[in-house]
Amino acid sequence: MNEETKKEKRTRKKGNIIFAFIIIVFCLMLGFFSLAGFFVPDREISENENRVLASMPELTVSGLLDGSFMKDFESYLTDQFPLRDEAIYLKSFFERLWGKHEENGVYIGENDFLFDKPSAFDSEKLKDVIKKINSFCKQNKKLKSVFTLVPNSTLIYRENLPEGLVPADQSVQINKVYGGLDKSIITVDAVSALLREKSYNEVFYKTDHHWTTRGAYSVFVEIADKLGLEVKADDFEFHTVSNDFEGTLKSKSTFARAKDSVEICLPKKSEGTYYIEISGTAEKYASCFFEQKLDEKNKYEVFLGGNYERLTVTTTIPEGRKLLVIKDSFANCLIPMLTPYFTKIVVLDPRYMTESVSEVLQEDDFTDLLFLYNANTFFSDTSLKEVL
Amino acid sequence: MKKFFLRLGEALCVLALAAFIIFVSSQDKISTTPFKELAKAVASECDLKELKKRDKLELKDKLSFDAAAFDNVIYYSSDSVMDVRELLIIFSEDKQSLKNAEEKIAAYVSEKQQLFEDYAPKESELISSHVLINKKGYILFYIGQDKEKAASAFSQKL
Amino acid sequence: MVFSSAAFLFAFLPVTLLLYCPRLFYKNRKREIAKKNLVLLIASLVFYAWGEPIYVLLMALSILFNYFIGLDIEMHKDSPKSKKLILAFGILFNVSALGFFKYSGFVTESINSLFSLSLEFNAPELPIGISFYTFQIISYIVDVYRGTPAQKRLVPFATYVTMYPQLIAGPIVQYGDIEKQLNDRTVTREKLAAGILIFIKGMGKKVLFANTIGAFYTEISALGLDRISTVTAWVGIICYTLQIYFDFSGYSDMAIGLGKMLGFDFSLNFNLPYRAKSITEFWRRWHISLGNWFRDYVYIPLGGNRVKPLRHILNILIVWTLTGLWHGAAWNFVAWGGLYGILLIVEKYLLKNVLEKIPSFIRHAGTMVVVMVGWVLFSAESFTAAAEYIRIMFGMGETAFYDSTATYYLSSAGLSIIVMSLSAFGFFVNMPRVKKFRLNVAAMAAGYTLVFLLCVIYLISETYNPFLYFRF
Repeated sequence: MNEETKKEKRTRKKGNIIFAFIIIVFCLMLGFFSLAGFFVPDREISENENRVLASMPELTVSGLLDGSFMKDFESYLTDQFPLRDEAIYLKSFFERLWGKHEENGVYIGENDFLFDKPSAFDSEKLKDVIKKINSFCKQNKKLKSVFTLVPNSTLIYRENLPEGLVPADQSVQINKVYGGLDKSIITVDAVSALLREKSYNEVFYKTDHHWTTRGAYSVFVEIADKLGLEVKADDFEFHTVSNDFEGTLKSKSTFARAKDSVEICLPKKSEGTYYIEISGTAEKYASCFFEQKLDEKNKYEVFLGGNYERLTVTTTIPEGRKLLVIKDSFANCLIPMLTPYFTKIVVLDPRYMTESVSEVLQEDDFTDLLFLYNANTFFSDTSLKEVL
Repeated sequence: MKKFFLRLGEALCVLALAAFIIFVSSQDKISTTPFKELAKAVASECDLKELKKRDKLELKDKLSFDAAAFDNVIYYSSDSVMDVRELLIIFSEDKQSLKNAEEKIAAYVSEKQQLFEDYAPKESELISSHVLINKKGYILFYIGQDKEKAASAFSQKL
Repeated sequence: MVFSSAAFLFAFLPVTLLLYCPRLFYKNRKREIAKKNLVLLIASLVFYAWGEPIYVLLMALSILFNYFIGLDIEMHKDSPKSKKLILAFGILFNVSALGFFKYSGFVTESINSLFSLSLEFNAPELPIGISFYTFQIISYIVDVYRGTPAQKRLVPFATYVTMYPQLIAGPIVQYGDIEKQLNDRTVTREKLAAGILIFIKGMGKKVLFANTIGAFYTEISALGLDRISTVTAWVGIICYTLQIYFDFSGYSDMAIGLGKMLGFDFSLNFNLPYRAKSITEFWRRWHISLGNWFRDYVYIPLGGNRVKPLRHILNILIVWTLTGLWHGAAWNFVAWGGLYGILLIVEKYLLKNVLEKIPSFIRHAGTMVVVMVGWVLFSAESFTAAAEYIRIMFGMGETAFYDSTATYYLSSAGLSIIVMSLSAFGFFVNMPRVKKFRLNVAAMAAGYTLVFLLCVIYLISETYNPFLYFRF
C-alpha cells in the first residue's frame, strides 16, 4: 500500500514539475513579446521593406464603429513588432527549406540567380501605347527615331529558372510590339545582342533586376549602329567599382547567396567632356557616375544618381547632334556610352514627368530620338502614353 | 408576476430584433442627398490644389468603364504623373453598375500601387491608404491627404 | 479578433489571463466562479466587438431573449403544450435572425433566378460567428426543454454563449455538456499546461501548415481552368484538402487549448478524419461537434433511424442538406451536403456488407478520393467550374495530363505535401519517447517552444492569414 502511494506521489510530483515548467516558459515567451512590443520605440521606416511602417492609429468613435481602428491597430502591432526584420528573413529561409521557389514576387533560381516576376502582356493596353508612339513620331518626322525594348533576365537566363517555370516568351512579345510600330521607327534587336554577349560576360545581375554594364554595352553597339554612330571595339574601357552589390531582388525577397560586381563604362575618347544638370536642382555635375551611391545599398544608382524627370548632358562637342532619350532605369548605365557622340542629350523618365515630351522638344532642335525600355516596365507602366 | 416580466422581456427583444433588422436594411437605401450638394461637401474637405476637373471620356480612358452610364459623375486628377491624387464621386440608382464600377476602381488602385511601389514609397503609401466607399447609391474614391475628413463628410451627407 | 494575430497573442490574451487566473476569492468557490465568469464574459464581448462593433448588439439581444425563453420554458415544465409553444417561439426567433442575416441574400437570388424576377434586396453583411452562437443558443433552449435546469443568472448564460475560445469558429458546445463547468470549475496546473500545449499545437497547424499549403492552392486556382493540367489539378486539390483540415482542426485545437486554460473541457472536434475508411467514419471524425449537434437536435427529433427505411432516408437527406446549407449560403454548399447525404445512404443501405470485404487500403483511398472531390465542390465558385475541375482531374478535360506548371508546383509544394499528409494521417501522433525523464521534458519543451516561435515569426511577416470557415 505504501509503495503505491509513494510511486503515485512521485509521478504526481514529476507531473507538477512539468506542468509548472510549461506554464512558466509560456508565460515568459508571452510576456517577453508583449512587454518588448510595449517598450521598444516605434520605427518610422523600414529600410528592408522600403516603406513607411504603420503608426499608432487615432482612437475615434467612427473608427471604432466601423472597425477601421481595429484593423489599423493590428497592422500597427505587426509592423512595429520587435525583431520584425529578423522574423521576415527567417520566414523566407524556412519556406525555401521546404522547397518554395518564390518569395514576394521574386523567383529563386539556379546558380544564385534571382528573377523578377515577368509582367503580363496585355495586347489591348499596349495597342494604345504603340498608337501614341506612332502618332508622336509621325508628328516629329524630322527626328531619327530608334526604339529599343530590352528583354529581362527571365528570357536571357531562362536555363536558371526554377524547375517547371516557363514564362511566356518575351522575344515573341517584343517582336509583337516592334511589329506594331510605324515603319519610320528603327527597332533594335536587343535579344540577339544579349544572347551573344552572354557567352563572354554576365549580362544581367543576379541580385538585381537591371542588366549589367556589359549587357548594356552589347546593345549599345546595336543602337549606335542604327543611329549611325561610329563605334570601334576599343573605344571604351570598363572599370569595376564594386564587388558587393546586393540589388532590388535581394531586398524584395530577403534572400541572396551571391554578390554582384558593378562596372562602369568609360569612353576612352577624350574628345568632349561634359557636365550634367538634373531637373529640380541647380547643381552641375562633371560626371555621369555618382560615387557616393556606392556606399549605399542601391549601388545601381551610381549611374546618373537615380531616376529623374529630366537630366541634361551638355558636352563640348561642337555642332553635334542632339539626342532625346525616353527611358526607364535600364538606360542609366547606357547613357554614359552615348556622351562622345552628341552635343546635348536630354534624358526623360515619363514616370516622373509633369510636362509633355512635345514641350521638351520645343526647347531645342533635337536630331535624334531614342526609346529605351525593359520589357517588364514597358508592359506594365502607363506613364509613357500620358506624356506623349 | 414573473411570467409577465418574462413575456414582456421577450416581446421587447422581438421588437428590438425587428428594429435592428430595419436599421440594417436601411443602411443601404438610396440616398436622397442631391449630387451637387454631396460632391461640394466632400470636395471641400479634399486636397484638390492644382487638380483638374475631368470629363467622362477621361474616366473611360483611365478606369476603362463606361462612365457615360452614370449621369452624375465628378472626377479630378492631376496632369503630372507623379501626383497621384484623385477624386471621383459617382451617383447611380443601379446597384449592379455601381458594384462593377467599384470593382474596376479597386483593380485600378491596386495596379497603380504596384506601379509606384518600387520607386516612390511616399506616393505608394498615399495610394494604399485610399478611400473607396460604395454606399447608398454613391461611390467615393479619393487618393490624397485628409482622407478621414473626406470619408466622414461623405458619410455625413449620405 | 483572430487567435493567430499579434493583437490577440500579445495584448488580449496576457491581459485576460492575468485578470482571470489569479484566485481572488480564495476559499469562496461561488464568488470565485462568478468573478471568473464575469471576466470571461467581458473579455469575450470585447473579443467579438473587436471584429463586429455593431453586430455585438445583435448577439447581446439574442442572449437576452433566449435567457428569458429558458426561464419561461422551465416555468412551464409541467405543461407540455405550453412548453412546446414557448420552445417553438424561441427557435423561430433564433432561426429567423440567422436566416435573415445569413440567408436572405441567397434566398432572394434563388427566387429571382427560379421565377425570373428581379427583386432588389440588400443582403446584410454576415456577422461573424452567428452560425456558431445561434446553434449553441438553440442547444440551450432545447436542453432546458428536455429537462436541464435553466440558468437563473444572466452572466453564466451569457458566458456560455459568448466565451471567446469557441465563439467565432467552434467547436459547438452543447449546453448540457458544459452546464456543470459553468457553475464550477478549477484551473489546475495540469489543465493550464495541457491547454498551453494544445493551443500551440493548434497554432502550428494553422500558421505553419494551413497557411503555407493554402498559398499554393490559391496560386493554382488563380491560374484559370484552361491552364491546369491533370497533375496540377490534383496537386491543387490536395493542397486545399490539407489546408482546410489543418486550418479548421488547428483552430479547434486552439479553442480547446484556450478552453482548458480557462478551466473548461471541450471535446475533440477532429479525430484524424483523413484516416477514415468510409464516409460514415469520416463524418464521425470531421467537425464532430457539428455532426453531434445535427444528430441531437435535428436527426433524433425527426425520428433518426428508428423509423421505416423510406423515412430514414428522408431524415438523412434533410439533415445533410441542412448541414451543407450551414456551411454557406450558396447552392454548391447545399449540393456538397446533399452529396454526402446520398453517399451515407448508399453506404448504409447498399454497401452495408460489401464494404467489409474490400481491403482497408482501397477503402481508405476511395474515401480520400471522394472527400477530395467533395472539396472541389465545396471550394468552387460555380457548378460549372467545379464540374470542369473534376473533369480535368480524371483526365477528361481539355488540358494535358502533365506539364511544366505541374513540375513547378510539385517541386515547390512536394515536400510540404508529403510531410503534412503524414501528419494528417497521424504518423506523428505517437512520437518515440526517450526513456530519461529530464531529456523527455527538455525535448518536448524545446519542440513546443520552437513551434511557438516559428508561428510568431510567420505571423509577423505574413499578411495572408485567412480562416476558411470564418464566414459561418
